[in-house]
Amino acid sequence: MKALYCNELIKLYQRRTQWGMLMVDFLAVGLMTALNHAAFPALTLSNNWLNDVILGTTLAVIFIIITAATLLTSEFDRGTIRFLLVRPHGHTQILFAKLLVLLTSVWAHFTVLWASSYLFNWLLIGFFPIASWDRTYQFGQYMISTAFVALFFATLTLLFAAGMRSRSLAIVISLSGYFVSSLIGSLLSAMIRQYEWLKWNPLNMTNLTNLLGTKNHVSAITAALGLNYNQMFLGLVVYIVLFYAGANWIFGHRDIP
Amino acid sequence: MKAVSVQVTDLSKRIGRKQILKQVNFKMQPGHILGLLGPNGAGKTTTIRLMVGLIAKSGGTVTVLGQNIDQHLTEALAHIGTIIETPQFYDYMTGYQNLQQYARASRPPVSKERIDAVVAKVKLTAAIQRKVKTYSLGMRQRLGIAQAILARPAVLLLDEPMNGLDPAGDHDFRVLMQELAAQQVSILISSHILSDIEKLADDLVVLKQGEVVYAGTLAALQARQNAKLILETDNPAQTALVLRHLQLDFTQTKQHFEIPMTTDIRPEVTKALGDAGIGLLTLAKQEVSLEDAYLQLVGEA
Repeated sequence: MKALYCNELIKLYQRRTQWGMLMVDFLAVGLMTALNHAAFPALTLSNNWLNDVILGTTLAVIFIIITAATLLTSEFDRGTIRFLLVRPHGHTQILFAKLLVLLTSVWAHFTVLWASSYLFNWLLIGFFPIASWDRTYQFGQYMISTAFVALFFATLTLLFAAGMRSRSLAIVISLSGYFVSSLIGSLLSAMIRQYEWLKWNPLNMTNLTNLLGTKNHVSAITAALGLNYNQMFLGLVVYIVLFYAGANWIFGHRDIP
Repeated sequence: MKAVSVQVTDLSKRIGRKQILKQVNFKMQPGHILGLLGPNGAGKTTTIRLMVGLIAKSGGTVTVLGQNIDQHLTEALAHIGTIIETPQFYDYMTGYQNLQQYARASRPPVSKERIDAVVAKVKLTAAIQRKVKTYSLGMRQRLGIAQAILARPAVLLLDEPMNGLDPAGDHDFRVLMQELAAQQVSILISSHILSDIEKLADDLVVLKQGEVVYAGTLAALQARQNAKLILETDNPAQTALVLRHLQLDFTQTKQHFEIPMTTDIRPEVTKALGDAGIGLLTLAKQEVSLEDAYLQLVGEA
């Protein structure tokens, strides 16, 4: 497994596009920090953090979806899937190595976002104003929640990619899902009051970051979505596992051209 | 009893209503080179894909070194090196990095020294640090061969391995295959280039529309097809009468006669023509080439 992970990691990070994506994350945080600082010079980092990284996290989720689609479908596009599958490793091991690299990619994107937020605030404000552990905790919780939402869409993309083997199709469907999820989610949330079981629909889980913030805000959103943070986090993890299991089953049961 | 490294039994593949392979049977032996022949669409590549588990069988079994691939595919793959159609690589990596990818994923992992030795063996040392996207088809094929033999497999399954090789590459490939066969590697080569198979193969499997129409040695195939007696005389009309009198089938083009031979009829024909006072200009036995035998088998003559 270590060898397969190493191979996947090399394949991914030998591509310039991966480094380009991380650079865009970095620059997006820099741009937003500068804009926030220019618009609201009185605000400190403790208040600004979320606004600084919000563009970066959106871009990171998009990049992670693209990476998830590329990891599998590029093997089919190039024909290198045969190169992989004629070695003494099962389909499950090969896909799991790809999942581990996907997790590494999620970690890399969010680490860059976090670190660049610190860096640009230090450059523009001149210090690391960790105002309180509470705020730091909230920021961390936001980043981790967003990372799990990204992983939800990434494993969904793997599922599409295993089924369709078309990179562009997997990217288009997953990105569309990502962008319309909040719209459909809000429509479904209106129906949750009528049909309670709808609160477990997968798109509802992508509202995880909406359950962060002040107590009043969280209470109102929890009531609307029918789930509290822990329930939604658990639901998100269950869907991630289900999507991955589905991708693994499809990958192992289809003929290789 | 001869050792068998790969046994293919009743191998079948159906896609929808179409039967791609119908109960294919053959075996591979250590140190033997088996040529897999057949017209386009006969099922050669499908057979190789089934043997390495890239596609699911509809029926039959494949055992590699005694291990059934249904239960022990990964163990079997550890002993197989393969090229399937045109070898594909990560174009943005160098040839060496591609081999490293393959080496790491092998069991046991392949050493750097082994990679260097194999690169030298396929004469790719000068280009191995270049990105694969700059390679010609022949260089890709050499890299594919290097990758196939890298992990010292006991079984080699090569689908059209000579595609794109120049004459020198073709020669090097044949020498390499003979070396590996001498080391008791079992080799299957699927190819359209009959002359290469004729030079290399000990055994043959000929497929036609998914069915085996011949499985046996190359020598036995050639022996079972009729050789020809080529005859030219100074009196074609009289010669035709003599051949008819000997109850021989023949074809005639002016003074040129072709007589299919199941036994050596040269002494009999020579005597009869001499007795008739006919002057012999040419008398020669023409052996059946693999191409003739192949074309007779697949019905494309």
